[in-house]
Amino acid sequence: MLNWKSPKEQCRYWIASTLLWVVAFSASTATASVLGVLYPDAPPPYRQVFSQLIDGIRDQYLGMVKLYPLDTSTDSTTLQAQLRNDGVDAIITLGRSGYTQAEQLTSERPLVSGALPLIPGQGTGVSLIPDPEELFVQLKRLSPNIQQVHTILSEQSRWLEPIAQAAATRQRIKLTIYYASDIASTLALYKRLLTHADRLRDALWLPPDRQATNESVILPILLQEAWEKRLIIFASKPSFVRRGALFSLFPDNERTGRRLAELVGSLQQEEENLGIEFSKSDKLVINQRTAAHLGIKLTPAQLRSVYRTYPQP
Amino acid sequence: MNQMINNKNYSFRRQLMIFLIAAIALLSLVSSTVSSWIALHQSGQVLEKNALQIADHFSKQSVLALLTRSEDNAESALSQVMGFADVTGGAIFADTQQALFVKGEIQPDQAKLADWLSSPKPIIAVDARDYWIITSPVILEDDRETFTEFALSQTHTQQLLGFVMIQVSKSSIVQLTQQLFSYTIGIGIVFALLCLWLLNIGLRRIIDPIRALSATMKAAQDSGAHTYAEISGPQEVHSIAQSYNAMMAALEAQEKRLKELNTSLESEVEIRTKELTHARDTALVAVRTQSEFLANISHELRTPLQAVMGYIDLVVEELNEQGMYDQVSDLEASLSAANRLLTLINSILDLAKCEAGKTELVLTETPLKRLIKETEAIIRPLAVRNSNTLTIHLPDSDSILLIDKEKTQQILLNLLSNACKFTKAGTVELHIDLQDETVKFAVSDTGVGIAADKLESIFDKFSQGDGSVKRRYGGTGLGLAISKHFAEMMNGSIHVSSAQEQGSLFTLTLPKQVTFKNSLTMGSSEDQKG
Repeated sequence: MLNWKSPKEQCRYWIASTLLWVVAFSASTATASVLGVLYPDAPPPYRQVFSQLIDGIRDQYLGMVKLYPLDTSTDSTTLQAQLRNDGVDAIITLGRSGYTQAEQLTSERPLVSGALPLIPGQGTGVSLIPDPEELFVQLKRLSPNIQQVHTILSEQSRWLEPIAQAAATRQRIKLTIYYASDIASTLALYKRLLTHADRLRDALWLPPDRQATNESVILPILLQEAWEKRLIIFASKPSFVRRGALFSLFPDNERTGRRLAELVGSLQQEEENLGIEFSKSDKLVINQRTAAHLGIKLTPAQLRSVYRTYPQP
Repeated sequence: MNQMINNKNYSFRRQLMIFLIAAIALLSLVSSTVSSWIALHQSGQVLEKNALQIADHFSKQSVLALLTRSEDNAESALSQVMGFADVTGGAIFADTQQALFVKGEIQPDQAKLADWLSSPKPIIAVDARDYWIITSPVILEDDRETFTEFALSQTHTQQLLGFVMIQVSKSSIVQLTQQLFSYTIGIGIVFALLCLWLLNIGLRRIIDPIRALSATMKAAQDSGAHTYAEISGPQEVHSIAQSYNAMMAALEAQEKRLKELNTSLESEVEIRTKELTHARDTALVAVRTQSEFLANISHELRTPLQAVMGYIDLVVEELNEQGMYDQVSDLEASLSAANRLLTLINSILDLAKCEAGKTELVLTETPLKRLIKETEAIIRPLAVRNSNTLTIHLPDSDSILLIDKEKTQQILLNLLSNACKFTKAGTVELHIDLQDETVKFAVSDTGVGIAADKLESIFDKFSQGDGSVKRRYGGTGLGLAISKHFAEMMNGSIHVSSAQEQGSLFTLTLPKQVTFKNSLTMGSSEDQKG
């Protein structure tokens, strides 16, 4: 039993209680909305990616989360009717199937996309492309002497330049970006770049650009020559690490899921200028053989923080 | 082959060996050809597939060379492709079909180059006897996500950079096929020789017992001895040898029994022959003795009988003169009986002579009509006695027969008298038929006839149908036997056909010119007259 000291205190208590109740009520009404998650009914091992994303969403989102697995037989009209019947008032799409279905929906529900290499201007969401700044951070951790990063972009990736430059600047790295019109010129640029690069101070970044990192032509030559010159190559694409690049960042799917749920919440709060965000992750993927070849020795603490190493035992 | 196998000059072993050699040779040839053909076909398919894969790989390796137009890169790609054993040449073409880099032995046909390079995938442009030319486009493709859900679009771009061409030699296939053919043939020959060696050994084991058995059989055939075979060899030969030995044993036993039988038979035949000879001699002696006895008896009887008859005749004449006719009648009856007795004695005498071989033919030239006329004169009274009509049918022309007239006439009288005797108020006919070499006398009557069962014995001695005939008609029963004897002496014959109550037909057939069987008396018609 509470022992009230004075009527003033008693009054303060009742006012505080009333305010708390109001806040709690308003919060509950605000999160009572239904979030629909459209995702592909993918086979293993890709199903795990979507499960992790959904786990992140559920973890973050306060309202009800309803799942809509999609397959080739899913009809957009039926889906829309189902969303309406279920009272879905916000949508997160995962993967290309969900993104394509969402494009056909006519409603004005808040829409957030994920699990795609989205670029700015493609709505609101979290891209699969890792944040360049996090790559630069990892680069500095692994090889603090690197001062300059070179990369080649095609015209399609020009949007990346300001973001990357800003990130590099923040990490006190000089980022030199070259543009190539085709694969032949890309190749020629790489040749020249490799010829003049300083292996102690320079590193080569393989950006999220298909032309600049053509896997059948450019990547083998580039990796081979960089190996010979003992030049650091890091990549935005984790699969390049398996082929010989030093490191990359593996997407943190649960974190991405949580961020997608936050973005949906923000859209529901009618916030603006959200756009596409890079994937935030500290899941380092590293090629130990390349690291050993380059003379990079990982401390035990660094090794513990590595998410995956190649070549795998 | 068939002739060779059927040739008896070849032994079973040789024929089998030849057949086996031919079969294995044929098998080796066929299997070598078939396996070589299959190997050629399958190796060709494999090499073709490999060549297409090499071309595809070469096209991928040439991307860099075409992108950079670098001779070094081209050389690298060409060196890699030339490293394959069967690739004899390679070339890299720009997308304008201009040859950029060429290495090794390859001569693209410029006229057909456009066709060759039009395919979107590796193809065999030329399939020559010794090589293939394979072309493949060089395409630069953009990267694809392994899982399409992580890509924003499904669009996939391809850029044609140029073409590659390789020339692939077929020499390895040809060499492989030739080697395979040689090996198969070689193995076939070795196998055939091995088979022959083994077969030779095996056949020797099988055939040697057969040969031994055959030699035993031949020895048995040549010597006639019962040679036994050694039982050895395979089961079948074993069985044959056992059967052969069993056969030999059976033959030996049979021959032994045959010999025993033969010996006993010979003894028996000898005994029987002796007995028969004795019986024959005894019978001959008996017959001769009987005949002689009968002849003597008959002669001895006839002489007093003729004397009796002479005295009776004298007494009859005296009694007639004295008018004692009653006594005459009695004496005439006695005379008649004496005559019959004389006739019987004469007949017995004749038959006895015949059987004793003492009757002789007396051949004379006898006119037929005269003979018949004399006979008719004798017989007609007999016909009249029984109210019979005697008809004689003579041929128009006469004929001179060389016969024993007396015996012929006796035969005719016997036949005609029998006909008259056994026919009452009937017809007795004599038909004479002259033929080229013979004369036929047919005596027919309408009398009582002869029972069918008696016809066979009608010419036997003392045969007269049955006892009742003798009692009713009298007679000696010797006439036909004597007639048959006489006819046969003259190389003739007598036949009878008759049915009871239907009459009889006796046919006497005699040669017109009788010849002697033995040395018989030859008389003359004049003698007979005298």
